[in-house]
Amino acid sequence: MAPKKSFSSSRIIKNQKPILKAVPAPADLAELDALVKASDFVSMQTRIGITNNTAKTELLGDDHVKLIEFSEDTLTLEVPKNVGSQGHNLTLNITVYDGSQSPLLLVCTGKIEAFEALENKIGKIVVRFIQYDVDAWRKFINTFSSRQDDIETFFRAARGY
Amino acid sequence: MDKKNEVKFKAEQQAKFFSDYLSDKRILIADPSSVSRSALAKILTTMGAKIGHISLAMNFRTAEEEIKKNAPKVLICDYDLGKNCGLDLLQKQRLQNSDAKDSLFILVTGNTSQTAVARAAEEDVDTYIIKPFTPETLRNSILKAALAKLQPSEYLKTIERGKLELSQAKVDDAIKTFEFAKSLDPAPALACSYLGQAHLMKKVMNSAEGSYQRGLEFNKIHYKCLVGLYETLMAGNRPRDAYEVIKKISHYFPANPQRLTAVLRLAIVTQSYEDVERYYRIFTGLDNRNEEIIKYICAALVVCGKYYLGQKHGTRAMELFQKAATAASSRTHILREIILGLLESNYVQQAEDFLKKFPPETQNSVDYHAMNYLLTNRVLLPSLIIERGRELLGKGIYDPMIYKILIQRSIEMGLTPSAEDLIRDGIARWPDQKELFDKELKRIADAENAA
Repeated sequence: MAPKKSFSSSRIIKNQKPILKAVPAPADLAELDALVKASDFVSMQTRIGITNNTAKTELLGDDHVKLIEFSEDTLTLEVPKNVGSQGHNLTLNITVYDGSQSPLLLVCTGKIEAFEALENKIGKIVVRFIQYDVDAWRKFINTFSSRQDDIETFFRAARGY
Repeated sequence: MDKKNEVKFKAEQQAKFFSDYLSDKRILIADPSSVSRSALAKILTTMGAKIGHISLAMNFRTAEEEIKKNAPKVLICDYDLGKNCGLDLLQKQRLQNSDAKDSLFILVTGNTSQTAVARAAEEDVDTYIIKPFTPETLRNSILKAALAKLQPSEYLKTIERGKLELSQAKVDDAIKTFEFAKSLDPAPALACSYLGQAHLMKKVMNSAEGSYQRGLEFNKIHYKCLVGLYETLMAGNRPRDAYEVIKKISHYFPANPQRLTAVLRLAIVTQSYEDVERYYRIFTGLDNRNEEIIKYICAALVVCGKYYLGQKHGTRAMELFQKAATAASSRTHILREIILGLLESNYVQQAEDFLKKFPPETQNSVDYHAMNYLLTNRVLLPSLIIERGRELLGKGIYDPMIYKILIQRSIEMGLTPSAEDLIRDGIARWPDQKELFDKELKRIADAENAA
């Protein structure tokens, strides 16, 4: 799918959680750190703000919004049930804090392709992108896939197979 | 068949193998997020799982019950399950499945902290997948982990054979098997670790140490080699060398509070005071802090603080004491130790500042009263000190420090019979501190002789 427009985000997601700092290595462990970047294992935090452009409602950095799954052009989110309905147009502000100095920002608009009401006022939505910044999306995918690679490398080294 | 088709054929064979494996297995997905549970279940069914064989649990307790009831062979869970850690389900799954070789334990979690990842690696979970995931990543990671477990290489099979021999106490056979395993892999750190274990069982310490060291040459952070080497060095009473090893372990595998207590103990024994602050940072990142680790970290910080006071590095000492006070929370004996340390080095104002750090709910504690009395003793007249001391005893607040001050002031004021009564009472209350009271008796005798 071709992107239609790039966005730059000026929105600040409120209530961001503090980033956990990795313990710096002492000098004699620096050699080992080069082998496996333990300092990379700073816990990543994702904060998502949702603006429902159809219903004219807004949900900023809510703890109940969780990104569970993504594919090339969809995001599957756990959300409060009242966030929107099938066919609604949303703007998502996604901020990923990965321990680097500047968090990764991704702003995109999309349509709720599927909505499923679950228990305890929770819903599942699948959002298909309409407009998004290709570079930011690529960075987003790389952030998670490289973290997965780092963890697998560490696992292999620690276990020896 | 050309290369491309060959790869495709192999991938299909592997997918078929795993699908056959999954088809008759009970599966448990434990995740607080209902969206996550349903997404995982959906992907597993595309891999061959039967929907009727999949159970879902939204919390630790439900998962625990399901494990007891159905002993699932495949367990997929989040690291964070409410107040519990999903990893704790691994032991429960192993208890229910005597043969762990055909069961899988997979973590799918948004927790990517070093402590979580390291603890999972330490516990030997099959794979660690981060959220959010793509269906493709999830499928590939699960398949890769499952094939490594269910279709082990010749190297891993040989190690399994050696482990069996070890468990049957056929140590010499096991050594031969592990030596053979070493020839089957270009970086056989795992075989070296078991070889070290076998030598350790035979109490051939040099060979054990050599095997672990050899394993670490192949792989510098191999967990089993590091732990084995540490244990060998400790058994050989070599705390300095052992400390260097456990320092590395605690850096890369920081999640284990028991290990952190060991490393703190060794840091103090080897006087590696400069390292203690680093362990404090590891401590602050721990998810689960038990009473023992809190006790150790506070004690280590206080010991270090005292060391730096002795070295005239007052500012550094204060930083360490401050951290100890924070970690101690309402453990008043730590604040007491800090105040005593400061007064020993004549940091009176700082000691007074630490007295103010006693949380309000502890200001009725014996430690608080004793330290307050000790500080007051420096400024009030002896008669007033005696009066205050008697008030404290009248309120049922007994402490050797209060007794000591009261005895000394009574002697100064010529109230010898009263001091002698206090000494007798003190010895009766704290027989283990008889030496302290005997000193006071000697002071009385010396004063009488001088008179």
